[in-house]
Amino acid sequence: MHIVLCLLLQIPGASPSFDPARLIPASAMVYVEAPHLGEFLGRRGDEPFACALGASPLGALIEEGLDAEARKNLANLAEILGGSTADGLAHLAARGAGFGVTFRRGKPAFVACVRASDEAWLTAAIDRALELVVRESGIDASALEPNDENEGARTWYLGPLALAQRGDLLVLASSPGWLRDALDRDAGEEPESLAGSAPFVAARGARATDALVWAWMDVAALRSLNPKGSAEAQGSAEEKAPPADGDEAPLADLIAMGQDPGAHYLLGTPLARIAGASTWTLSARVEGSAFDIALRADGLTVPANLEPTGAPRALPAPADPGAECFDLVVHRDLSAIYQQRAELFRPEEVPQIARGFADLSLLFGGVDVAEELLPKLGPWLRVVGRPARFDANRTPEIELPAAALLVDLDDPETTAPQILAAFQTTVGVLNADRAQKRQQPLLLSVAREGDVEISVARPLAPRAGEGIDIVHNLVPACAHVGRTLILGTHESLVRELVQDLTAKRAPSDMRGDVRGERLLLRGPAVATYLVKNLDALVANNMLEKGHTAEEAQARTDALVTLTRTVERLELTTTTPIEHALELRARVQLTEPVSTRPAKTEPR
Amino acid sequence: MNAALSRWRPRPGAWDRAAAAHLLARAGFGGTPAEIDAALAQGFDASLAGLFEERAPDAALARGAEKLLAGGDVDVLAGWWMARMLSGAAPLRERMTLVWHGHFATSWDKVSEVRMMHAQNELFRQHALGDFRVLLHAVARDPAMLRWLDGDDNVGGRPNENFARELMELFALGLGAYTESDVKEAARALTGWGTDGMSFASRPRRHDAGPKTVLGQSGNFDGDAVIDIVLAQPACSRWIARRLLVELAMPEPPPGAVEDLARVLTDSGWSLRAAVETILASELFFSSAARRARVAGPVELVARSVRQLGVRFSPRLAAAAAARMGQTLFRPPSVKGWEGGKAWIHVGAWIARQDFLSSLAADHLGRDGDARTDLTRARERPASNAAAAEMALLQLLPGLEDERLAAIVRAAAEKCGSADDALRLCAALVMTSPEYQLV
Repeated sequence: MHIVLCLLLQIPGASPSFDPARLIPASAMVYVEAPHLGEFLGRRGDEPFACALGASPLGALIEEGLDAEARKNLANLAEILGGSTADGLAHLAARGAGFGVTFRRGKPAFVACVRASDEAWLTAAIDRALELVVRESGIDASALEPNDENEGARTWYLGPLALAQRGDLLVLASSPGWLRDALDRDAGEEPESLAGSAPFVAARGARATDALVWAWMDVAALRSLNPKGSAEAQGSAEEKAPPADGDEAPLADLIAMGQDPGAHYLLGTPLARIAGASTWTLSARVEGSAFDIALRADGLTVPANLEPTGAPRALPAPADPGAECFDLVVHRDLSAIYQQRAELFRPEEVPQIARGFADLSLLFGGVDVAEELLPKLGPWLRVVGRPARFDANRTPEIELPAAALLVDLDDPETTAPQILAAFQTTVGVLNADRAQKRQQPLLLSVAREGDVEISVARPLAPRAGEGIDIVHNLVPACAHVGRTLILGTHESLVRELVQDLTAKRAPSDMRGDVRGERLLLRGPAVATYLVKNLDALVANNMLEKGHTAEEAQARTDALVTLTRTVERLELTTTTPIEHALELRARVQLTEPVSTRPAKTEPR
Repeated sequence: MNAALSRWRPRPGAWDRAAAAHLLARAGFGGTPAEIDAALAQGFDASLAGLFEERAPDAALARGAEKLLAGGDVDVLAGWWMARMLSGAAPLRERMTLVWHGHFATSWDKVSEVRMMHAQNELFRQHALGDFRVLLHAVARDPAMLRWLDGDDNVGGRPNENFARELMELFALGLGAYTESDVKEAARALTGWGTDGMSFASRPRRHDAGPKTVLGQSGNFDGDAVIDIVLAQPACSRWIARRLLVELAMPEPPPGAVEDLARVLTDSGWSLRAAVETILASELFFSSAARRARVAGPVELVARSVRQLGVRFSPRLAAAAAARMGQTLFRPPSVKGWEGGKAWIHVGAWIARQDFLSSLAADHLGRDGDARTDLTRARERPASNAAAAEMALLQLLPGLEDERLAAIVRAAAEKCGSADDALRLCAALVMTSPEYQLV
């Protein structure tokens, strides 16, 4: 059995002569190819990432989440592919696979093509698929005889689908015409293919050489399908009305995001306006035990001051990076966004933003926050998440990590006292609200960490015998060290950061190893909190999903194991060249012990 | 004993599927097909006794929910309670807990403390079938109730009458059984009872220790004494007896039955179990006038439909569905509780009922890939479209005598592509029918 499997896995490498894009029409708006997927699946036993993934409970979790119909479909797929889905896909995509789609009068038209490991395997797989159709639908087998035989291709027309096999080539299309065109292109009789399109060729030229899957999207063309989308995504002043009937058009939500203030503040302007790019390319690859997926947007126009540039100052990298549950570094020039609000946002949003800042001014003793405070905040912000240290008998029943925001202040002598005063005013307002609800107030006090004063708002100690509510995760604190303002959800974290900053009085590059914006999540640290709150998570699963206790426990355990498997998840955005943005997600799995290379002992 | 409350002696054939379903629907949240089968097999007496036997609640849910409540989300609390109702571990106790939640209506909207609401709910559960006197005394000291009806503001020299007024008007006597002066004097007796954090606190220095006259009796009464005076009024037992009959038997119980049940209460030492058992075993309860005589409240309706179909369904979503129909657990609209009756089926609520019930049948019945029991697995899967129609009618509306609805269901089944599709459609038709809204 083992030998048979090994023989099966001896699959030819990708053929340089086969370019799937040659079979795809030049009018395609979206194109996906899998240049090395077959190879990867074929040697997956030697791939650290595949081994780590196999050892994780992800597969079991996904399987449990599938309904009966999905499970049946997967079983059918495995049957068609010859028993093992992974091995079958390795054969199917052994020499490359491509898929192109465009939209005609609002409806998708597509061509998909694969060049399999060999003709015999492909023929057998197609026969198994047709047998399955006969068995499941009860139709007569004769109805599934090839409808056509031209230029050496067996052709079937199955309702809305057209299918052809020629040698080791399989083509699937949304119409007989598209199928014939693809076969003609394969025979070299139809020159106009996507592979001949200059912008496409240029984009593919930058493709990672080891990409498992690569995709290209003509965003400008997709956007043109949305009558109001193009102008909106570019943020032009003459067209700012929300799409009246564009909700169902491609990219409608992303286009709307381009003028949404929340998206600009949360995601940053380049990402909020990503639908305004001319093309997107997406590349997925595996590197050791890490999976890396990158989306690059080209032809992106971002107003001045809103691209992540400049030299951040005085915000330290964490002293102990291993302690972090998460670490977020972003570039948000809040003042520049405010100043350019009329150009960036829909007209109806602009007065609301002004009103919001006017309300905020009340907390700042009448200071004009938008005009006087925002310009003094540095554009680089860091949010650090670490375990909180709770006082005795104050550990909440649901324990959460603490988070703190670090901001570089341009004029700390003026700005820091304003922010500290606003912090104290906010606590006072909160207390008034809590008093109305007959809840106990937060006690405002000033603590010291070395020479640094920290404003702290502490909840009163719970009475003996009473539960410690989630609100006890909140011991908000605010301090400033030199140019750096620290605003945290828990006093203990603010104290740690004060220590970090005072220990490194010299300004340091906050970005350290970070290039551009970055969110880093550490799976094992997050898993610690899942374990601490296991009972609550199990109960929550029962209440949310209707699972039994056993089912909920199994799912929660699997989630913990899976989280531990992810050593780190890193999301970054960078600007590789002018008018481009790259959004990258990298998942680093913990390698299973058996796949780690043995360490060489020093002699 | 009034004939209406005399014990029901089922004639041969009278303990049928419809009777068993009626008992399980009124004394709980509806029986699953398997539970109705079991009740039929074991007979009426054993089925009635079985309602007072309870399984322990799910330990994992209890342990985890306690922690989840630390999050302060009242929707979690509502979901937790709905999970208990759906579990069927103690259907009668949960049904009576819901009765007392409506009777001593307290809303999180003012209390603002989920743990207090949880503690009150447990108090109702603990005394649901116990001694009403103990329950009433406990409610008067319950922190959630004290916060809801301003106990902390009720101090000597400046009495707050809220609790005293509702004690007489809604909780124990009813309008006409007391005077305005009784309310004011009772409020004085209750001064000093308030909260300290999450607990009850009696503050003697805030108590008005002077003489009071309440319901014809005079003395230096405190809170407990005035509650005892209220309990001693004949109107009190009648008020509670009527409430129990309305909730469990019929919206307009005959006066004689109210008097008789009031006597059962007082003769049994205010045993709610004795009163409930008397109702559930009575000729009145099984009379045709009592069958499908009440409009099912949203919580009852949601729990019954999910249990009858046996589908996996999120308790939180179930509680949210009941809220959309007009019954938000832990948030009654006022101290009077929910109006009930026809108020449950105003236009908006009716649409919400139809939406929920049709989507429950269409999207969940037989759709789940796991091994949980549902209507299709509790017994043989329907072999034909016609069998699917009969299964839906028999299991969801046992004893239905409306041939018009049956004909509609049977005709609809014929047009379906498969028996499974027919079952889903027929279940949806039956559950969205006017008859199914009654209990």
